[in-house]
Amino acid sequence: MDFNSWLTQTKIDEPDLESFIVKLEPYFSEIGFRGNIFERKVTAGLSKIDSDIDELLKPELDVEN
Amino acid sequence: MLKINKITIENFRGIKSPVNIDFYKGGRPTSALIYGRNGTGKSSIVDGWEWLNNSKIDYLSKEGVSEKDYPHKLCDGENSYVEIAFTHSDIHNIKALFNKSRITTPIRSGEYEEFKMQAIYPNYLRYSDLQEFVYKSKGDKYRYIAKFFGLEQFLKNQSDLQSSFTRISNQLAHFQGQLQNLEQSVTKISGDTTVNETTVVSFINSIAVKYQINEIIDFKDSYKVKQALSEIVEANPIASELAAWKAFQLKLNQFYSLPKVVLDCVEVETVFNELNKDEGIITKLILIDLYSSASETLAKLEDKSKCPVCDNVFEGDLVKHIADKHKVLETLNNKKTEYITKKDALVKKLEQISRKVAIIKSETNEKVLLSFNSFFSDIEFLDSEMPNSIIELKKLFNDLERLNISERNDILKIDLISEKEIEYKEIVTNKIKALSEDKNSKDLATNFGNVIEIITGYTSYLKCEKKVSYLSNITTKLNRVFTKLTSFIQEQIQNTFTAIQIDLNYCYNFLESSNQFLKNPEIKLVTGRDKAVELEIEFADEKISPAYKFMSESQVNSFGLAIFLSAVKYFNSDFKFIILDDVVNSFDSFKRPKVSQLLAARFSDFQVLMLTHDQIFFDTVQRDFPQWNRYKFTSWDYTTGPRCSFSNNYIEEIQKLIDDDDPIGAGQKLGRYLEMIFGIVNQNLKTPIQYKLENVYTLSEFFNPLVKRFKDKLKLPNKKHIISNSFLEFEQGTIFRNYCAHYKNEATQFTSDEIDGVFKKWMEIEEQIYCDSCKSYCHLENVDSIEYVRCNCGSLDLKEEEKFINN
Repeated sequence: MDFNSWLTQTKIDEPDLESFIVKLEPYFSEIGFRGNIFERKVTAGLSKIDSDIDELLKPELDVEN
Repeated sequence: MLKINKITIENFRGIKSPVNIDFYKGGRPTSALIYGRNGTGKSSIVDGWEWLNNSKIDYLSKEGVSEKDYPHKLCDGENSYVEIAFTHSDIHNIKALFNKSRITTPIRSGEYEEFKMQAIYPNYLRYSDLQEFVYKSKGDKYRYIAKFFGLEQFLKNQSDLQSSFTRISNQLAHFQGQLQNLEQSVTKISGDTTVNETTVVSFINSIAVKYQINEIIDFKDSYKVKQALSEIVEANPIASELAAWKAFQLKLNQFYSLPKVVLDCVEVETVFNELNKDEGIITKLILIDLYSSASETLAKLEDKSKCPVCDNVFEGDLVKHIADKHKVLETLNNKKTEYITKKDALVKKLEQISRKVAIIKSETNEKVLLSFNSFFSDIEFLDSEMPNSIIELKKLFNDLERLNISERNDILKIDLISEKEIEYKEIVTNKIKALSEDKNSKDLATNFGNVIEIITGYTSYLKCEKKVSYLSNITTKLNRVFTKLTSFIQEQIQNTFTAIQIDLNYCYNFLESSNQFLKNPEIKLVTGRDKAVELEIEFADEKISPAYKFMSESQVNSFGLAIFLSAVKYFNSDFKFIILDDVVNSFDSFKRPKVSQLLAARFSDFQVLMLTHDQIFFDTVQRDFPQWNRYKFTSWDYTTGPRCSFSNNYIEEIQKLIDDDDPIGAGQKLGRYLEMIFGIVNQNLKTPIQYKLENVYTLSEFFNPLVKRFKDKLKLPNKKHIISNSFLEFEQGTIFRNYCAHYKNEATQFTSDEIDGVFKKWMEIEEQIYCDSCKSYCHLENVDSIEYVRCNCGSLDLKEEEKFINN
């Protein structure tokens, strides 16, 4: 069994992991799991949390503002 | 089944002119045996095979040898290739040609992909591989085995996932800690034990109500309260100033305590100046390892007066000289380490102060700025000057002529500001105290401060909480994928271990049959997160792990060879071919024939390429496998490579000399052959032989006890063993008796027919005592008090009744 087949089989065996594996799949390459790129995306996710909350708490623009 | 026809190598490693190794004989596939002393180019064949398979040669890569050095030096990378011809319906030929423009990627032709599907497990084993595997650490063994079990990509992904998991988990722990701190600061302001939107909004509203500000429902509207409160504060100059001072007090409390640095600078300068005095010697610090190795090497040498590097004799005490030099450099090295440690600590301190300066510098309230005019002008100065001091300190030792930072103004100023901590704090406290006399203004300032703080704190809390949840989700799932992957790899390894276990035991027990106490080796997987493999063996019915606690080097090598053979058998069921390069090297001489016998017993359907530099092992193998093709690499030449000739075995050579009517040559060769065989059989039968101090025996001194031994051990009442008749015919029907005494003497005239008579008759006897299935001569064996004279596999049993005739 090659690695991609293993991923496919794991998605079937663990349906609740399927969407996560789909997200992970692009980072698996011939030279291994490209962890640095994956972690950069994780960091981008953290920054998005900051901006999402800042956006959520942004004072409303009203006539005066 | 994929069978090899021929291996051709040209212009590769030590091979210049094409070397052809044939694996066909009489229209049938066979194996090949190569004998050559060390340095005759044998290993270039294994290197070629590895390169063809993997595009690189692992042990050379580890030694830093580049692919550009693979072709023979004289060919300039042109026409350097390895080519294999096969007999198979789909796979006919594969070839790897050195690619000058892309040295790591050979130009491949033929049915390479199809071939790789059949050759799953690396089917070559060098003596060095055997040594390396056996002494690898538990973790390295795991990686080695997983790689060779076709799990390399799984293993790489597993390792990468684990690294990512660890890094993201660390991030998660950081945010969890931050969340806890934020929770504490919010609860401290709100006075509630829990942190959520309701408690925070309730606290803000409790202040809003006090100042007739509209209450809010959602936290997102908290800015409205803050804004309204800010307007009230602005309208109240006392409250406004009080709020500013309170905010500044918070910043000042973070700014102080400020560490002093002048003393640290002086210490660094002192060590620097001491080192600088030894500037001449410091360049010699690179030699410290050399002196260290020289001390260790000298301790092991008998002649301690000669330099182990240049081989020159040293006048004086070399050991003391090296020890003194080493001591001087070691002291200097310690000083250099002290300088680097102190300097780095100082840089860290200054950078920390720099960060504090940047924060306090952001103060904007005019009243605060005015009151602390001198303080803020010092801060401005530090902000502009400190980076220069840090740059100076970060310079490498060799780039600094002198170091004089303790007198720099920014450094002096840091200590001055540090000393003013109490004074400054007191000013602020007094300001706050004075402004707090008006209770309403004080409460207003406090409430305003609290509203700002709780809004900032809760906003950070919300972000942090989300980040913790986000990272927890990722780490949980990543961990599940990692755990599943680990289980899968371990399951695959364990399954393979189980599958090869029977063969592994058979091979090891076969090779080590002389040792009754150490048997039944096993490869054990250390399960769980630790990726490790342990070798286990049964010692007197007790499982011992790690196995080599009780094993000799030779036994450990048997273990390694057994793993290799059983794995190749399991994985490469469609391509039965193995290369064994000098693997018997570390085996005791009596055990070497076992390798040959094992191949006959368990791997008779395999094609083998056996390389050896051991003449006796070469003779053994060619005796056991007369159908194999045999080559001798007689010498090596830079311009051509190995001098390679097709080699006959003893029997073929004797017959050829007889056919060529060379009775002297034939007689001498036959004599050496008989001496070897008599020795083996006497050893197998434990024949008592008269000891001779000079260790020179004639053929009859081996032969007569041998005949007697057979007679003694093969007895039945009123019967005679057929081999006794054969011996009688051998002695009486040929010139053997006369030949025994004179075969070494070239002056003695035997005819080719007479030598042929001895030879043919002996071959008839050999047929009776040698088993062609298990490639062994019969031996004396005692099992359950019953004595046997039989071969290893038992199919040849000289004590069978039909082998006896009436007297």
